[in-house]
Order: sequence, then C-alpha cells, then structure tokens
Amino acid sequence: MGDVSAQTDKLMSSESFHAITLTHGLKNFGYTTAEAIADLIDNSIEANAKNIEIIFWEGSANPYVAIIDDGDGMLKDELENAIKIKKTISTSSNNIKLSKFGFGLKTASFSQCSDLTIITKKKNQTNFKKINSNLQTTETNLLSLLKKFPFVEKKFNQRCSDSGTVVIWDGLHDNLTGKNSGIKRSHAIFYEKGKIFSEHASTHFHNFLDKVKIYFNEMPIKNWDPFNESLENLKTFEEKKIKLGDFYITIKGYVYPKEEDFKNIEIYEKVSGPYGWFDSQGIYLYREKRLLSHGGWFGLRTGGQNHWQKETKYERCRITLNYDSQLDAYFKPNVQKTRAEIPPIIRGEVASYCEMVRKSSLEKRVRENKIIELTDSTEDLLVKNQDGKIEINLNHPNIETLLNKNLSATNKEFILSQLSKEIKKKL
Amino acid sequence: MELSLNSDEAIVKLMLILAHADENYHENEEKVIKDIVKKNNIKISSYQKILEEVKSLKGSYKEECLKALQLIKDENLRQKTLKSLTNLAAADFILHEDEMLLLQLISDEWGMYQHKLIN
Repeated sequence: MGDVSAQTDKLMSSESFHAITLTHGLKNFGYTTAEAIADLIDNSIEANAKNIEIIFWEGSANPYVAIIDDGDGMLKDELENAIKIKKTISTSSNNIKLSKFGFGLKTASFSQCSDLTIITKKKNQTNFKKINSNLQTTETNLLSLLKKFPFVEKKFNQRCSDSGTVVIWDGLHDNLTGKNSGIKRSHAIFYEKGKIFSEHASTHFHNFLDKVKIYFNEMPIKNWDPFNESLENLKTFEEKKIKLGDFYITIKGYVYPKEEDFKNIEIYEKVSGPYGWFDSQGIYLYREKRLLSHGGWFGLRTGGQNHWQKETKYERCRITLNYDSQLDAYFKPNVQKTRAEIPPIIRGEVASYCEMVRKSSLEKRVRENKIIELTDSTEDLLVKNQDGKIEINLNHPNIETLLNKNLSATNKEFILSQLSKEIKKKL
Repeated sequence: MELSLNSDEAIVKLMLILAHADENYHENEEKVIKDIVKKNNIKISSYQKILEEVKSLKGSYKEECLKALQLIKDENLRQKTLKSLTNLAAADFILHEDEMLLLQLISDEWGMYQHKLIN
C-alpha cells in the first residue's frame, strides 16, 4: 500500500482536496470494529484517561456503541478541531504519539456508523456535537441527546463528573449489528463483535492495562501479556538496541518452555493467548508500547534462506520490537495501526537477532526430544512382592521418573516399551 | 394463552423466552424455571401452555422479550423478575449475549440497570 502518511499529505495538499470524499474514502480502508474502537482508545489514553468504558447497547431502540472516558475532555475549540478534516497534518509533532494521523475519530467512527455524537466536559464546560458521515452537523441540544441514550447519560454523570469525553456511534452499519442477516438472534452478531474487541484490547493495550482500566459492557478487560517474564523456565535473551535515525529501537527475544515444563495446563493455555501457540510465534511490533501487530516473521530471512513463514518448530519463539512514534516514517504504520513494516535499513540486523532466538529454540527442542531423563539401568522393572506375585518396581529410576515428572509422549512410550519387553521376558 | 398483567406467569414466560433463545431448552434451564413455577404455585398445566406458546413464537427474540416485559408493570414484580434472572445468570445456563440484551431491554423499559442485578 505504500506510505499512507505521504499519500494523505499529498491528497490533502492538492487543490482537489475534499473532506467528504476523504472521509468516505478512508472509511473503506478496511477497519474492523475492534480496530476502529482501538483507534478511539488511543485518543482516550492520550487524553490521560484512567477509565475507558466501551458499551455495546442494543436495548429497545436501535443499537449503538459508546466509548466513554474520564480523560482531559475538550473545550469548544478543541472539539471543533477534533472533528475537522484538516488540509495539513503535522507528522513530526512531539504531541502526536498514539493517535498518529489525527483521523481516528472521524474515519474509524464512520467506518462503523453513519452518525457520530461527541459529548465532552472540560473546566466545567460541557460541549457536544453530532455529525453525520457527510460531515454535516445536526442541530440538537444536550438534553435531547442524553435522553436518547439514557444509559450513556448515567455513565457520563458517573465517569465525567470532572472531565471526560463520550463518543457515540449511532446508525451502525448492518455488518456490525447483524441487521438484515435474516436470523432471529441477530443481536448475537452485535455482541460477538464486542467480545472480539475485548480480545483485541486485551492484547493490543496490554502494556497500558495496569494504569488504565478498559471495560466492555461494565466488565473489566483482563490483559494478555505475550511476554510474561515471571514465567518459570522461560528463556529470555539480552535486549538489543539498534540505531535508526536519531533514535533506537529495542528488540528482545523469548523462548517459551515446552508444554510439559509448564507448571500446569491452565498456565500453558493462558500463555498461548487468544490466538494459540502457532499464530503467536514471531515478532510483536510495538509503537509507543502499543501493540500494532502480533506474531509473524515480517518476511525476514538470513543469507540465502526463503522468507520465514510460521512453522510449528518455532511456535515457542516470541520477539518484541518497540519503536518510538518519531520513527513512523521508517515503519510506515497503516491508518488502522494494525500493520507496519520493518525498515530495510535494519532488516538484516533484526533478522540476525531473530535467527539467534529461532536457532536457540530448535537446540532446546532437539535436546528435549532425546530421552535424557531415562537410564538404561539393569535393575528389574518387574519384581516379585512378598506374596510372590509380580508387580512393577516402583523404585526403578525410570518408573520414578514416569510417576514424578511430566514426560513427553516419546519418553512415556520408551518406558512402556521397556516394561512390555520385560513382561514378555518374565512370562 | 392470555396472560394477565403483573402475574407470576408473565415472569415464567420471560424466562422461557430467554431459555429458548438458542432454540434449545437445556435441562438445567428447565430445572430453574420449574423451581420458579413451584415456588409461585403456578399450575403445571399453565406452565405447559406457556411453554408450547413460547416454542411456537414467530417474532425475533428481542420482539418477544419486549412484549413479555410489557406484561410486568408492578415494581415488586419487576424486582422479583430480576431476582429470577439472577438465578439463571448465576448458574450460567444461558447464552451471554441473550442475557445481555434482556438486561439492556430491562434497563430501557424499566429503568433498572445491570448493577442492580449483580449487587
């Protein structure tokens, strides 16, 4: 797709610039509902929110989605500015961190709905605005707005007593609501989108969830950290800094233990995360600690190899790559902030580091597959008890290992074949 | 079967609509609803009539819930309905999204919010 930032700069500076065309064009960029809400969460975090509530409300009337935060809120001119599509954008401002392009509020919203309402409070002033996807303002008053969304009114009073912002998506598109899907339980489609968002937020905002609470329909979203450093038997690699422009990116590798070396199956499943072990392997690209993309190998390779693909043998390898938003020109994140590229200038260095982690995971795997815990002890596996009956020798080192350790299937098969040989011999 | 306003049978109808949302009446759901029937001295024949009616409903889940909610106007009976819903929700016998919509309908129609159900 190329550099979106450069494309939009060019588009906006041209004489043919037309805000409505741009809004309609950008909304077709392919935002999923989860990505669109995540874009607004970026704004809330940047506005210093401590609590962010996402409400999927169907109720008696038409369904709507509301994003409510207790952040800084906006004054009237700030609100006007937020809903404007500007002809120029500053891609180098120090203030632009998570939000990146400054389009999110409009484009993310209109990718999901046709009517956008913003109610915001700052310095005891409450300001509001209702616009449609043609960027036309609907004349209304605060009272009738809140009357239409009584649950939001309750939340607004609760969360925004000092300051904060409410964004309401009304006139939701059919693919979000399940309307016209022809099924009796179309609401299930709507709430399912909400659940998918919860999973997305638990992963993509995991670095923020200790300081910022995000709720889906009043239930707190639990974070899923793909890099749980306190995990037993986790192999961590030294963090490497790579210079890029005037900044450094950081990269750090992890090799997870095999299934049998986890304390229990619950921890193993928790660490596998919402996407499973196979899809969770590879590079996790963070921008300002916000996860952009999870897993995959970004088409990297080292000398003469094919581009790396996801493979079962590397499913325990995970690598973090964190970069500063000042380096956006190199990483070229897309508007939805779900994809970026590893700049050609550092691909070689990143690939070498990843290769070290990948190789290490293979070495470990080869060693694990050997039957190293077992002995070729000459001690009998079967012994006679006091009654003269033959029974398994529980003192045999291999039987002890079998009973006390979480062995791999190969190891278990080895001991059982030893036993079966001895049974044949004794009988 | 014509149900009268503010009757215990109306609560049972609402519960049955919820239980049948996925077109499958689970035995655990049946047990909870039959307990409500017993506690409220509702005739088994009445329960069976309501059950047959719910099984043959043609409208969407939302439409049928809304109709059933209109039958419960009395504040005490509304509280009782929420308690019965709590029993179903706590036992996790129902599909989350159906439960969520019903709670939101109750919020809209009766002005009672989810926290009342949880607390």
